[in-house]
Amino acid sequence: MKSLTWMVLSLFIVCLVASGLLSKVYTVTKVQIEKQISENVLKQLSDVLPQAKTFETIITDSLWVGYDTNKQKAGIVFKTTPEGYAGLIPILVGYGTDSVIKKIYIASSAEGLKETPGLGQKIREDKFKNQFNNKTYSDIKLTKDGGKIQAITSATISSRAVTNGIKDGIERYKKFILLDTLDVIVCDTTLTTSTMNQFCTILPGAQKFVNIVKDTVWLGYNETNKIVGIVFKTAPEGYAGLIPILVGCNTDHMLTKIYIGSPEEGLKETPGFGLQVRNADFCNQFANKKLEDLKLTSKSGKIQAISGATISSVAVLEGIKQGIEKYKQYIQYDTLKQK
Amino acid sequence: MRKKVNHFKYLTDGIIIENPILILMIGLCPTLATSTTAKDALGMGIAASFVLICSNIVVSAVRKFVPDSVRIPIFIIIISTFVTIVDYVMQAYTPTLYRVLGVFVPLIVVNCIILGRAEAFAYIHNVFDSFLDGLGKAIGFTLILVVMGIIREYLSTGAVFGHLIGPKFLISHPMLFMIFPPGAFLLIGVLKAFINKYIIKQEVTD
Repeated sequence: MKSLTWMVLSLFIVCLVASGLLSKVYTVTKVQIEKQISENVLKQLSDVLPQAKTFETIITDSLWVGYDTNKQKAGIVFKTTPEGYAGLIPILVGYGTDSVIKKIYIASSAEGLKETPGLGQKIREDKFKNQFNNKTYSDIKLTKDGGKIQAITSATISSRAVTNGIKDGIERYKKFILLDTLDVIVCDTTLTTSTMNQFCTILPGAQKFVNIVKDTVWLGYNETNKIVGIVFKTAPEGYAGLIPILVGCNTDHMLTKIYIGSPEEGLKETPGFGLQVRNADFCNQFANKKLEDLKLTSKSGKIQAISGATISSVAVLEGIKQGIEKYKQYIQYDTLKQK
Repeated sequence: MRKKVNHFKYLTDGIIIENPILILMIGLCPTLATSTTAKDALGMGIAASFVLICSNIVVSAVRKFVPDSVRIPIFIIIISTFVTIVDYVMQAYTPTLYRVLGVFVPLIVVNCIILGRAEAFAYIHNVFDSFLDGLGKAIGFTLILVVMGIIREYLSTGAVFGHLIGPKFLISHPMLFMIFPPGAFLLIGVLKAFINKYIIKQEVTD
């Protein structure tokens, strides 16, 4: 028995001393580590957008706006990660207010680049990379596709991936260059009238919609061009398949309304059970709820699951919650206008 | 007098005669992965050496208080504490090296050399001898790592520690094979053959 006590005691003492020592080291190094990380990010951003001195994060880890010494907007920096030959290629692109690419930076193998050393990895060399400097959107194509970018011999896939990735990035983020002049809102013209009406019901007050994340997130503006909220699509895995849901979220971070797709629109849940998520009683539970209320009643929330269709109910709830977490950052988009 | 000579044998043994990589043949995984360039090899060698020496000292210091039955968990706690310290310090003060070594910094915990010496030596010898043993093995480990790093970096880029040396031919036609683990394995084999033939005569048993 004495040896048992001693076994436990010795383990306990060692753990105690170890954790004490580690927490001390942690606190001592924490400040320096955070400093290193932010310094590194700033260094990378300044490198691709040389005129900018300070940066503001618009979309975490994806989009920054750079301001020069006179606090004027110098351009944006965005991160795009196209699929290359052996994995994703993380690229940082500095794009000026004059719609010209300033410089790009491609991650090293230590930072996640998996392309073949000696071949695909050659995209990191200045010879390839610097081709993108001072190019406009229309120049960004491989020479064999009619553009101005010379691909690397035996590394066409990697070269093309980088080229297309940068092109997509510009398409997606160029509207952020025009941030200050957003009195002219670039409405999403691909929306059909019925979809527009649907969005207007989901997000009351909104009349115009701007597509921010392709086919997934829209900003809703009212007649006076003031942002009302966002509408996003999410499709969580339900009992028998994906459940297509449209969610509206206003600037107070409150869920306004949801719409769940019909069987014709892709819903595969069981009639009589999971299909009941489309019922008004279930859907209306979500209307005008705050994020904290979006939990099951059994977990002190305000959402009642449908009896006999718990999996479907929970799938809808979790899908909506994750969607809000993921996209709520876009609601703050408008405060940038006040700079 | 004789006792003193004996002690320092623990240190010198680890460098060649009982070199962890080429003679004991342990700790090969981080060797293969981090000896791609001379600088990374040196960084890894220093990090692992710090952990090895510290853990040998601490294990030896508590050996009388640690019950036999729970010694392995306690070794691991001690070793991982030091590895975590190295991890934080590298993250804070040498971020570029930290990024390059990546996952191999936490993997120092399962480096056979460290756990092996704790169990086979530090647990049964006094603190000073354990310190010497750790230091010797650490020097041996780092030495081979750096030698491999220099060779692999030279053959695959024509540079050593980042400084271009090689003939133009090597720079335009690098031996890419040396960057990958198979090349490293081959190199370990060549080094072992060299050390067997010219430095120590090891018995070949059929």
